[in-house]
Amino acid sequence: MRLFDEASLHKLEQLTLQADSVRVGAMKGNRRSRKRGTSIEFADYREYSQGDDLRRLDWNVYARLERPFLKLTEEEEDLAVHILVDVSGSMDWPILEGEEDKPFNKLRYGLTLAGATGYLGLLSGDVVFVTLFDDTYRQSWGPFRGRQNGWPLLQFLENNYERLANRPPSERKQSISINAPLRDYALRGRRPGLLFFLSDLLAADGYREGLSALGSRGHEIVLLHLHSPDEISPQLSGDLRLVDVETGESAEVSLDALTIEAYSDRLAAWHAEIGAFCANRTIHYIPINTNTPWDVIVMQGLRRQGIIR
Amino acid sequence: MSLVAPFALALGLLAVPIILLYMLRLRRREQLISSTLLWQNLVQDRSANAPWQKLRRNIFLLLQLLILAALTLALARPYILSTDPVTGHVIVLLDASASMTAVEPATGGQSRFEKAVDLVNQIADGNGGTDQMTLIIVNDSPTVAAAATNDHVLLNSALEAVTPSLTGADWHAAFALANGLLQGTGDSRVMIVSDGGLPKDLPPLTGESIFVPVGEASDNLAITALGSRASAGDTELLVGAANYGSADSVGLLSIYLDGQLYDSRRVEIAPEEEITLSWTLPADAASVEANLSPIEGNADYFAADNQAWTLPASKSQTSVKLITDGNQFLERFFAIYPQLEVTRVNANSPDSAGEERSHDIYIFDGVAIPSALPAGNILIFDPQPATSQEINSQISVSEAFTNTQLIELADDPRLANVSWNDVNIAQARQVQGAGLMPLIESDGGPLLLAGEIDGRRIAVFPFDLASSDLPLRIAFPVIMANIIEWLHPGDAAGIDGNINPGAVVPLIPHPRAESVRVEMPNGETWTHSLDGNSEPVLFDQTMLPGLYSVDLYGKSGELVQSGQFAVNFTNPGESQIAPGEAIRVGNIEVLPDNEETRGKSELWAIFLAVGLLLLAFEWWLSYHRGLNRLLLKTR
Repeated sequence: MRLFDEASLHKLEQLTLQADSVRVGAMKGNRRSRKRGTSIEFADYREYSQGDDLRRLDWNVYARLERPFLKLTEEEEDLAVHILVDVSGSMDWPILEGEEDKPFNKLRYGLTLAGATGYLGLLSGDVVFVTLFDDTYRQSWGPFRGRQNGWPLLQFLENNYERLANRPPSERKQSISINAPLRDYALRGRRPGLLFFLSDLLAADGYREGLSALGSRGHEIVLLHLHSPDEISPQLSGDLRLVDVETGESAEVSLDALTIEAYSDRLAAWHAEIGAFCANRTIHYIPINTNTPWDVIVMQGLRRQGIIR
Repeated sequence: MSLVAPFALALGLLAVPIILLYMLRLRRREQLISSTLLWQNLVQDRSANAPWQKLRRNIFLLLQLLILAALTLALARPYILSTDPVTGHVIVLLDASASMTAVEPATGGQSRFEKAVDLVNQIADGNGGTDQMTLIIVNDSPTVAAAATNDHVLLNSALEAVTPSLTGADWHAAFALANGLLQGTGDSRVMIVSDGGLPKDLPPLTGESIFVPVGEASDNLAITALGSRASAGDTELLVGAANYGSADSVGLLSIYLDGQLYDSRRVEIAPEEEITLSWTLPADAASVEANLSPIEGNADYFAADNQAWTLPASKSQTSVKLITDGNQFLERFFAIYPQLEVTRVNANSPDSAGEERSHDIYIFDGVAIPSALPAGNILIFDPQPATSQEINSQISVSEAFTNTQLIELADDPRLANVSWNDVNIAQARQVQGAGLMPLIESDGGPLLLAGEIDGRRIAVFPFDLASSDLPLRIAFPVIMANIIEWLHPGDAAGIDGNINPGAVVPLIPHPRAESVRVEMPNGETWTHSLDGNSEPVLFDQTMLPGLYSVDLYGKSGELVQSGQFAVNFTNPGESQIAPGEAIRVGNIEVLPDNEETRGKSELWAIFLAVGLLLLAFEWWLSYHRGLNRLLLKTR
């Protein structure tokens, strides 16, 4: 099951990830830092002060002016790119029988976006962490850096997608929590960086604690909130027993235009609530309808948020 | 608020199946969705498949229960008592017949009519600004007392001016009047205020009919008949009495002769029974009064039919002077004709037409007409041409003719029931006179003339009875009776038999009378000047039962004739004072709209309208939702 084609990957090669608050890289990377560093790129001069590294004194200037000046160069550092993908049962939606592509499937869409952002990170020389999780399932990839790891990343995602899409219904039906895995991820003490979190946030215990935990760990979070088109505009009517594909819980409801309208209102209010929560914590919030091509999200949605240059 | 048909509330039990239908768990289609998280509260709001709490919040169930409640209430016909019962244009037919004069305990010492007037007054006072009332007084000749007015003062004064009469009620005429007034009016109804007794064949009314009954009692003793006849020197009196009530009744029947009590009898009459009693009275009794009064403990609420009068010897003798040489046909006829005092005078006698005393009728048979006609009415047979000295300037008699074949019989009451076809006459004379009109015409000339000359009635047969076969025909007594009746001044009142109140009595004046004076039972008098006219005078002031005295006065004020007539109230329909249960108007039985139910405003129409509005709203809501769903799909 392919998530990307060649043309899409070419488009990605022109893009670079950027974090507003650059995190100190553990290794020198291709990313230009605001911090003055030890690279060869000249940035500025400043007068010598006691304790400065004498190796960085510009002896030619000292010979000419007899005053010590330090030559400042730009620090180039790498960025830790964390990609967290919710692969719970509710993400594997919509399920269309006999349709291999599943064009609007949130899981497929999420893994594609994860691949795209991860690939971008690798292209930029950043160190990339990819984690797929739900309550019982957890797969991690990385840390890796360098474009040579692009292909393995895509392979990892595609393999997992195949496994997840084909998992038996019994494995899907379980109540999952978002908060717990996020808190757990924050506590592991990985290096803070740009964190992409891809989820539909459809969990009974909410999302706030998890996101807060990640934020307090120092990550710059990009929340990619995924919705399939039928979640935004349900094409349902009549007297139905709605069965939760994830938890197996059912709810009986008589659907008519008024009910659908009320649902839409509630969805809009939920989005507004998440948006407000994210705005208060400088989290980039991008609600996504999976009928939007993923490259549009990458090239327009992420750019608009200043995550991609 | 009360209900006319409370049993209809049982239909409210239909709410149980409706609620049960809502409580039935629906067979729902299973539908997988990614998460029920966002549907949770909506499910609570919209799910309508179980407990009571959810039922309460379902708008359709609420609407359907409301519709059921409204329709059930409409069927139960709720009403409120209103102080303004009649709106729009109401035509009040107020019964002013004799039975409405009944005074009974139920009307609190008032007569039924007074009670009815109070009732109509209340309705008139309760009318709103735009409401109008027309008042029709229903007696023997119904009249409109107030037409389509909302002026309370006018209506009240019109009601005050009305009095009931001792007559029946002409309901057909009243209905015709009401229907005429109903033409072209929109919101109109007819209110019949009566104690019943309406005929069963009344025509339908254009508007709604309301029957307001007055009175409750039926107890009434009545004199139904009073008659007398001469018999072997005495007078036999016959009295009929009836009990129209619903219980046995005992009364005292008293007979007064010329104002003096003659006899009394105790009569016991079963309900709906009529008895007859007879008395032998002295022949000289001029007037007889019968009086029936209930003995204590027995009720009689209607007084007008408790008295009756009759005049046993009311016919006075009429004097007739017959001037003839001898005519056995005429003599035989006058011998059997009652109440005629005939004086026969020989034609050759010098005082044949002398005025030694005046007579009512003069009959000249086979003699020349005197030049100066006598003062009374005149009947002439076979007039002879006058000698030159005694020629009469008013009636001329000329040559005889023999072609007496009948041409034409005038359409005249004096020829009523006369068959002239088999009458043969040998010869007749030509007679002419100013004022004389031919009644029987033949080829040669008239065979009978009649008319008035100088205020006297004159009839002329211009042929000799002996030269015709008329006396042998049946036509003779008939035509003679007619002519004598016409010539006979009779009593001052030209009516025999019973006269009911309100009837018109023709007073036939004596030829010499110049004025008429009638004294009514209440002592009032009525006078009328005749101005030389001998036509009957129509007297219509007969509303009171009792004896009426008629006196005719001559030129110089002398009494020339007097008489009496009796007006009796005998009307079984009115004596039957028991109020009717219902009346029939057209094909519709109109039930009494009694005091309790009058002023009842039924509200079923409001509830029906509310039910239909709710139904329309439910349809709209359902359609609106369906439409929204459709639009949502097409979008």
